[in-house]
Amino acid sequence: MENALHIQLRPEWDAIRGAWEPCDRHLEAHGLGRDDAYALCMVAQELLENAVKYGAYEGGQPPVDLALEVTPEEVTVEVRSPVGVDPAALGEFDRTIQWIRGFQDPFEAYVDRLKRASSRAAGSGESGLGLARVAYEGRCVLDFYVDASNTLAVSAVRRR
Amino acid sequence: MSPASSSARDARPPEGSPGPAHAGGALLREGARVPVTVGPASRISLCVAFPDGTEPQDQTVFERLELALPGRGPVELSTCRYVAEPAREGWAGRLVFLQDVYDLERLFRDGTVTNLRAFFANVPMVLEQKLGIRPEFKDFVADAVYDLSVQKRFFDEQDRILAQEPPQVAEAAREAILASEGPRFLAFFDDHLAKLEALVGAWGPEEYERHGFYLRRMAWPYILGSEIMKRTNLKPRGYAGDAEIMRMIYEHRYEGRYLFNQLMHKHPVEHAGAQSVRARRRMIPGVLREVLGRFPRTGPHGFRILSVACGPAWELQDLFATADDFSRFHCALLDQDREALAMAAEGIRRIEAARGIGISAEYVEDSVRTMLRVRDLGARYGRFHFAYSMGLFDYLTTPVARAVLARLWEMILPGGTMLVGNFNVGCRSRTYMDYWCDWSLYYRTEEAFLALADGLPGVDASITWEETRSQMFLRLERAG
Repeated sequence: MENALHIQLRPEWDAIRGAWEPCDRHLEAHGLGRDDAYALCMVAQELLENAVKYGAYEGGQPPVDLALEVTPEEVTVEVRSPVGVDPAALGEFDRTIQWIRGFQDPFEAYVDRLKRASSRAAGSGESGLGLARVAYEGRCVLDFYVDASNTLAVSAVRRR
Repeated sequence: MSPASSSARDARPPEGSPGPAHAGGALLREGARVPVTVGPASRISLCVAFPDGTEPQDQTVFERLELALPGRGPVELSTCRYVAEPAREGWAGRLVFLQDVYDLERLFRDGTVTNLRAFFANVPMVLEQKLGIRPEFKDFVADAVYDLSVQKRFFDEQDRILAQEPPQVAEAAREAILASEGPRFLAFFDDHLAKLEALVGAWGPEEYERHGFYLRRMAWPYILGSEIMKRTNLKPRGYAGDAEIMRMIYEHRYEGRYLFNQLMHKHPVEHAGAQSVRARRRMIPGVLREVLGRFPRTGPHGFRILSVACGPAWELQDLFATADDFSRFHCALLDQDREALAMAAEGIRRIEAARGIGISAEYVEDSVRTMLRVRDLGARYGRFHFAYSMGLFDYLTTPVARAVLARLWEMILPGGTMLVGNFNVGCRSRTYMDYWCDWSLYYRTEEAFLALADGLPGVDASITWEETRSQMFLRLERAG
């Protein structure tokens, strides 16, 4: 059985929602329990939503790449999307990932983001809760890099 | 002109606030609207002026404040009291909010309404974390906190006595106490860590993490007493292993004002993980000499060295051993942290001053995660005979580590060597770093570390260890 699932998706909300089912099947086929599979599907959705929100597309191209790899040691969700050329935004993303990673218990990052989200008036902007949710509810270690083709590869690794 | 009718046009925002200085709006009370101009007076209060001269009585309470912020649209803030401040230039007084605690500096900076009171909405969730803590762990932490408080009290008593003595007398006595009682305390803490490891070592990730959070909340005052643990926990540079932490580990001495705090600092810098950091610093010059031997004929500054995520680069003190090294080496130091590069530059200046010879060095401020955007790294930064990275791969997940390693490998010259460090899953300081230091690393097995090099072209990969066997080193040799 293949231990990696690769899907290409149109950068649209409906398309990414459709990724839940194949991810769930793949995780179940590799022996993950219901709760773990649900959490990892949520992780994939969060990363895909970010890819759609912040990716730089032209006429719906290129597609978003989703890879879901299961090994005995860890499960890796990787989402690849075209990134814009704003170094400041990338720097901020880098700092956010490192900030979340800085907590031994991602619960602390999650609570901090909740505080920020709940202290803002509705509709007043981005709460930044999604990535903290990946770390805390998904129990994943987040990381990323940008390659020479300006593709942002965001990975979430859950150790088994 | 009375303050009540003064204009806010000339009022300036607090220093560092690039947003609008003031905004128009109205205070509402019993169906009446009082036109106002407001600006930030402090983080949680507004200064107010009444453009049409209708100043209300001091201490009048208004039901709400409606504002029209430029570029933000209407904003409604809750009940507030008017406090007359006749001495406030350009304003009639101040508005103090009675039901909510708004971050008003932020409101004027970026238009975001932030209610600081809402922070407390999350208190129950944090309190509930304790419900998921095992009873035996609660007992263990209670005992540890009790023991630490007793230890601290004994050392604090000594500090109080020494405070009455002349400085040189106190210093000598302090050294005597650290020499005699210090080892006993360090052994006590070793024993605590051994028990902690036995207790939590087999737990799954979620439970392991949750109990770490609990321990840190309970032991927080002791953590803040230790210079190094305070910094790894608070992370002023955004990450735990910053250049200042490296300095503390390399200097390996007592830090802090009080005896107990000095010992709480000394213990982690004595531990296996810190020893391994010092050991890897010694290892780099040895590998460098081997590689150097393969390139006997490089010209002036022709032997090129790259340090990735260089930190303070203290190892350079050991790399530049002879006058010949100064003329042959060129160093490129890369780090995402400007402060780390500044410390590295300062270190180079010290070496130059001590030896009276200049060093050929360049500094690159960039994150490895984003520098991979550069299509041809060799063309941008040059190619290298020897590249090393000691405190980076412990933070990279497998997909990112593979990508970074592959791109760095492109910059290695034929016959060159790359040396990369990573903490091993069996590191004896792992629980200590996780639980007390809030310093989580990406620990790898030997096999997983070696597998990062799979598929690299022309590579001969092997793993070596430092003496404590906390860290492994992936050594990649490119055929000449």
